[in-house]
Amino acid sequence: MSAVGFVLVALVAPLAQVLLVNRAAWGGPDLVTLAVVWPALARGPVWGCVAGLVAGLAADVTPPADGTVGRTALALSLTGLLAGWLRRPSRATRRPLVAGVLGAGLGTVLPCVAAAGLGDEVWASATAGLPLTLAWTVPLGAVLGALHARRRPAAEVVPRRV
Amino acid sequence: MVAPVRRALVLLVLAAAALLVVVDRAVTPLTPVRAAGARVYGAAESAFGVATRVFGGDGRLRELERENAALRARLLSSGTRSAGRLSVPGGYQGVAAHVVGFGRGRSVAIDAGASAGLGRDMTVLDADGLVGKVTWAGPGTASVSLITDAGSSIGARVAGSGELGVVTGVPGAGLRLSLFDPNAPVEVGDQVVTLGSAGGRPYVAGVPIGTVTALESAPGAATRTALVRPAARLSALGLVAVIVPRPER
Repeated sequence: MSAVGFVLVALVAPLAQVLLVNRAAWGGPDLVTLAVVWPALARGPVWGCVAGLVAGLAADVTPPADGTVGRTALALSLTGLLAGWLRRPSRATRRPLVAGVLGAGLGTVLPCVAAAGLGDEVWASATAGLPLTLAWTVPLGAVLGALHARRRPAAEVVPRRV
Repeated sequence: MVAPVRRALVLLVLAAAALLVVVDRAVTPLTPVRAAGARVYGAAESAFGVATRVFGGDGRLRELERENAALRARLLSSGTRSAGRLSVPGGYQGVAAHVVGFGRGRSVAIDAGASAGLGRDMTVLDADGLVGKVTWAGPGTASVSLITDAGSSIGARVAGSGELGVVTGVPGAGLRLSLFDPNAPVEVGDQVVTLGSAGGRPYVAGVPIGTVTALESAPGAATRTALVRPAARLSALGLVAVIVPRPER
């Protein structure tokens, strides 16, 4: 997928989250996190970090978000960075799977921690739906990791110019 | 050659995100950034809402007719003669809005904003009762924090006895009423309404919050507590009304 595609996904994910996923009574995955983990797995830490900034900032200003601007951006750029570092090419084929699972988990938990830590929400409120969201997001992160593990990138894709 | 550039880029991105947080929290609120985002994303959400409403037009019309009939019946049975003496107090007007976006359980976005007169800390209700309050109003949308959010606390009165208390949100369990008087009489089925604040912000007086469903007994507790089921249909929100102060003439 091209760079423009990744950015588009990162920009649209918060909207889809607010319009479709959060409407469901049985919970749903954190699409914004997955939109960050995906480029991190496909292209490495720099891409993950940039995607985290874009998607996180978009999520911070998508109504009904009303907390600190940049809160989710910071949490998700860290997530993208770590997920990208974890999956770096090596002999171990499980690496992308671990990166997908940990990235999805971290990307779901960190924004909630940031929301409560910055005092935008009380802890009970920030962590209320967390287990259900994790149960949706982590398996999907594993699926993303498995897809990339199968593709087995030969070498680190070097970003040409950003 | 490549590695330092990448490291610099990563540091730049992280610094930018951290700077946003610091500026928004400590220096000056980044309202223009938020307003710009709300304009773009809010417009998309409103458009999506309009599209879904057009798509399911007939069913919605019937639902609104039913709601209208129920409201008219309640108006007639309440003995109120003129519409001017309804629950919208003098000096206020009701602004109708649709719920278009959903946060993670604790907040929703509605398709009316500052251009319709909305602002922070205004009461939001639906046909059945209190929904929440406006926490932030963008140009064309507003964020509403629901009464079931763990951070919400509402001054409340038990309708029959007039006992005063506070209603707080309990994640996953609805609402909890804490009465100031530990010996206050309260029974299952009692109605709980808002106490109201000066100026009607964040909550106007007399809006139904919910019904007492269970009493919690803790011997020796400083307050009397009970679980309350919200009157508003918070899981299926559609049309809501915002109580907006009438502009000064």
